[in-house]
Amino acid sequence: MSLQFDPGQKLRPIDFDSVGPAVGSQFPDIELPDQNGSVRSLKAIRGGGPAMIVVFRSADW
Amino acid sequence: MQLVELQEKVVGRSDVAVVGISYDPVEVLSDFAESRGITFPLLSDVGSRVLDGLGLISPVTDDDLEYWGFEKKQHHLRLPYPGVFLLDAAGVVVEKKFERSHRNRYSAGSLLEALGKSDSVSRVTATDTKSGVAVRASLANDAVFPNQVFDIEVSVAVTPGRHVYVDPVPDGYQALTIGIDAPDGVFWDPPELPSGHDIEIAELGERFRVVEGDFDVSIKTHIHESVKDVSVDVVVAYQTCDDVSCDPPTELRLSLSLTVRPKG
Repeated sequence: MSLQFDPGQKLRPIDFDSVGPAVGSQFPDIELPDQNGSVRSLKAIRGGGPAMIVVFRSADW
Repeated sequence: MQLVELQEKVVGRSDVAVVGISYDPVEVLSDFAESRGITFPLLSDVGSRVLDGLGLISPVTDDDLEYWGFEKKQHHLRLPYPGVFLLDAAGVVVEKKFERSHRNRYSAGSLLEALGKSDSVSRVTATDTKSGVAVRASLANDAVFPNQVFDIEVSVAVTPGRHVYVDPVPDGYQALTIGIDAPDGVFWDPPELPSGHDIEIAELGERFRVVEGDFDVSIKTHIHESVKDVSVDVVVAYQTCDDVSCDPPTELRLSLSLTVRPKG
């Protein structure tokens, strides 16, 4: 058997249920400029379909 | 890199919209999108005003910085938790995929499956049957990135009229175990097994905890960047019985060959 090890376990635990909008709730509409400088709303981007919203820590590290 | 994989595996291949959000200025996102071929919107939240409003800003501790190996810099002090929100067509959050370590990200296949879009996913699958038990192991990716988190789904079907034991078992019996045998650098969490129900064999004066029928478990897995293409064996050990007799303890071993992609 390979070693069972999760690097995340070394860090203090976080209850992600309480981070950000809850499961079962409406995700708020947000408006921000995209990479082309055009202001976009989440609602318009989704266009009535499902979505993945990826929160990432900078493309520039 | 998660964003690059989402571009390849989701954009144009499903009806799921992909949206990135970070605190980078537009110019940084523009350069990034151009160099990596990202066509979905990358939203620029300079100052993290929107991320903060969503409750996604995390205080960073000295312990975190030491773990990550970073020098303390001003822009490290308040960072968003990295992760993914999955929204249904009505815009309701159906699942949140966050990991404590920023190094571990969910794969595009896992995210598509969580949204019920299995048809859009290339799977690697292995099946085998022995001693009245059929096992199917599969994962929602044909290639993985180092440190990406993916679930290996294991479906077990016990022939009607038979059962397998689960812990605790008396000495000499084999309880069901499901795990992974793989080279160093493949990390996995033991799956949660079904709890089963008790039966009593009057002739033996012994109680057993057993599972019957079909059940599914998932094994959360990730692969260290030092590992190249790898074969991961899902090992299911068990002993099947009916009301009268038992087969000897046995195991099924299902091999999944994974391509590990270079870091994006």
